[in-house]
Amino acid sequence: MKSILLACGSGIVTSTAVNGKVSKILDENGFKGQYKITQCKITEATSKSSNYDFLIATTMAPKDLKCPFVPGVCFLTGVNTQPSIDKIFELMKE
Amino acid sequence: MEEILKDVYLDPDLIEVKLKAKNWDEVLQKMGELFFKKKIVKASFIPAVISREKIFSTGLQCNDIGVAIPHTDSEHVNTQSIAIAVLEEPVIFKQMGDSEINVRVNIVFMLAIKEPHKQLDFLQALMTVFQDQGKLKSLLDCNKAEDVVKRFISFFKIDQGKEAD
Repeated sequence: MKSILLACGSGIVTSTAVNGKVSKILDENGFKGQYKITQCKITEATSKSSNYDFLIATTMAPKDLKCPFVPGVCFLTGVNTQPSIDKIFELMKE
Repeated sequence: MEEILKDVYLDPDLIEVKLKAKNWDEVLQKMGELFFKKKIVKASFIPAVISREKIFSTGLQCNDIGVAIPHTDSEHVNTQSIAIAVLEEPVIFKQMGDSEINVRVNIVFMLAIKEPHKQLDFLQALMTVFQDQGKLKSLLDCNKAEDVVKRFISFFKIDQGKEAD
């Protein structure tokens, strides 16, 4: 079971949109039931990060993060999503 | 469409076509006033949405078209709604997630969100619109606020049951 942290400025609007998108991609690629996503504000991400396998965010990577970072803005625009999808799959398989 | 937009207040009074603005602050100010006149938001929404945009920019380059989705905390919101401005000339916003990048924004979707977790379908469907150049272009071609509302509603009708890419 992977713990995924999903953050945006407020922890509510764009992280909610990305949550739906990423869950769908994971489920369709054989990861259904193998992950749990928690949304938060980006300002809370660094302190929470040591308890999570990776962080997806629609902001810049925060400083001093204790887990890998995956850029999430591409899931809003649909532009250049493959590098983030590949990174998520790689982290799921670790 | 009824399902997706049922809790989102849509009104031609919240739509501007050919909005003129010198910079992103002015866009947010004018759109915030549209909301405030209709009591969609509290007076505190306008300074809050502007200061949030400075920290967490919301420009999104969707292939050829730039959009922005300014929003702020739900404490400033009375009613869930969306205001849409088609800009007469593109205005520079900073890219979401990378403030080093400028986005020439053509259309601004200002969100008044009260209960985001109940709005998953709406937010998802809105992102699907951003991923469809034809839909965004069709908004750029509108000359009247009523046409923007009609087109916008039609996007959610067409999309129902379709897979987002």
